[in-house]
Amino acid sequence: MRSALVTLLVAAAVGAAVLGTGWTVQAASLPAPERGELVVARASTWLSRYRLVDSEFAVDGRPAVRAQCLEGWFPPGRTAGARRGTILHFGRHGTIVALEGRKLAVLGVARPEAPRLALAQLELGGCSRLLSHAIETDLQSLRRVRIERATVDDRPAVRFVVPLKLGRILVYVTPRTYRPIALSITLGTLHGRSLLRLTRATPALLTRFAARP
Amino acid sequence: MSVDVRTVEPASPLEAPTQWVRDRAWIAAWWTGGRALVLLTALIVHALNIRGYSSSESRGHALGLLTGWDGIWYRRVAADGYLLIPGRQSDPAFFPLYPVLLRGVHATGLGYPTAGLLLSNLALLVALVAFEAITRELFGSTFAKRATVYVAIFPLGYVFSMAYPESLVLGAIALAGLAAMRGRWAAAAIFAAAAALARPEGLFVALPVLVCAWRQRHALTPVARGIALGAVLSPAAALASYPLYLGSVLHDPLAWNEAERAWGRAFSPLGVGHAIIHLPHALATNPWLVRDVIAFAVYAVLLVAARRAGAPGPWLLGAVAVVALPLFSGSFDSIGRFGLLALPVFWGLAWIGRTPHADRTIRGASLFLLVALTATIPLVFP
Repeated sequence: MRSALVTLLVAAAVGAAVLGTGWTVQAASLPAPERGELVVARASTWLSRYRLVDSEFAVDGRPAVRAQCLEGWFPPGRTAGARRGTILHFGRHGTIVALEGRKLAVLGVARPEAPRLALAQLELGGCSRLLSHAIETDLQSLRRVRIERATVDDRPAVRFVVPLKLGRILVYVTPRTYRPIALSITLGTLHGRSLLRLTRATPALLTRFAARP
Repeated sequence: MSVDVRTVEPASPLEAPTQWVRDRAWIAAWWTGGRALVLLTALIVHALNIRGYSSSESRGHALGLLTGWDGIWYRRVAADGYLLIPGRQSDPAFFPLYPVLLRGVHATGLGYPTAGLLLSNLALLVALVAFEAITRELFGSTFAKRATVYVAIFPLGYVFSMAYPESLVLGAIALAGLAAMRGRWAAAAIFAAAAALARPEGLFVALPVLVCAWRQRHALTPVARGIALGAVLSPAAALASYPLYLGSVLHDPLAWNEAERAWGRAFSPLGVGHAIIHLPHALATNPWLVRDVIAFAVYAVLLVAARRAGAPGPWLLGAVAVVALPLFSGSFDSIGRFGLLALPVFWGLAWIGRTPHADRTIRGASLFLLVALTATIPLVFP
């Protein structure tokens, strides 16, 4: 009995030693990622986990509007011909539909919108797939990421820049969890700002989203 | 009664190591020959400017052909550490021991591509010596010589010369098994841990180590039994240290799984069915996949041959796991490379090559295929 206990204790000690040595070798030899890279990667992880985002944005000097963006398959459910994409509802009647393999469609607005404005609205609406795609592309480019302290509505935040083809996005995240909370975008001559709230997509919220004209 | 007293001259301390090296000179010769073929082919492909999918980074080095594909990722981990990019192919999919050693060799002043080539090729020499030793203990010296030659010139063995961890893992697996057979449990624990920290397939060396420990249990003291059991646990412990490390630097211990998913390797019980059902479509998309399908079939035959040769059950079981488990990710991709870590594959080949004619045929075909497959590196990942 005693010898079995000795055997088990020694085995556990060897296992623990291997575990500890394995960790130490990695920690001592491999460089840890820079904080900037971690912040950007975590922000992207947050976005990849949420497909519904509530926001309030103002663009091109227009009044601020509330918006809600959903990523997924449209029409929802196992419908034949369903396509993956993004739908943004904004203001009272505005809707932008961006489905894979289809042209961007802007509905419910009085005057036709320039595609660049629609794109800016999709980004400002925090449409998570679009936004995380832009962030991940930048992260893969091996560009050195710079993070800065900032404030959003007088609350502390951290921000980083995501370069775009025709401009840039400033992403503001919480200083501890790096959850995206605000955006500032420059796209050509367009400027806009938004506040974001990543929202868990419950069946009730999805039904309400789908019911909006 | 007369007593015949003879004086025995004590061996010079340097004689034993010299003899040891001399006895294994043929291994070094086959290693040199096999690697020379691979390196020469890589140089010719570079000179002919066959680009294929090779990166511009790889084309900048005369032997860059051997430092491409995953070699770039290992280099990136060595230089910058890990970073998970959600939903994208990122580096936590690559195990840490090879980049750790790569960084160590790089610290001597060599560039990463040169460091990778040096590390992998020298590790193969060590692996061949260890493989010969373990095979000799299991099957005898003639069989061991044949099997070791086949490892040195195995057609897919060009991977052993690439900046990949395969040669390192092959050596660590053979050394762990050898140490366990000789009752050197601390060494077995170290080598088994090294194998698992370099590639997940290293985990399966626990099976033969377990059986060795079980067979020797009555001859061991309780402490020695504990170390032997620790050697069995060490690959799992080493494997666990990787998510622990990822948790500490990336705040995500599951980063490896997430990265693997982005590389198209999501394991599922239905993966085998998926791999077979979707094979025609996969072949239509990537005709090079036929190489891995053939490799899978060849490995299956060689494992049957290894069983007939009398290969120990735990080694066979581990080899089956190494060859078959990747199928559970739903694809045949890279099975040819993964199978290089199954020692019984080479034992099966040595059993088939037991007649002089078969031996000559295997050697000739292997040398030809080694050159041909090395030349395909720019066109298809190993």
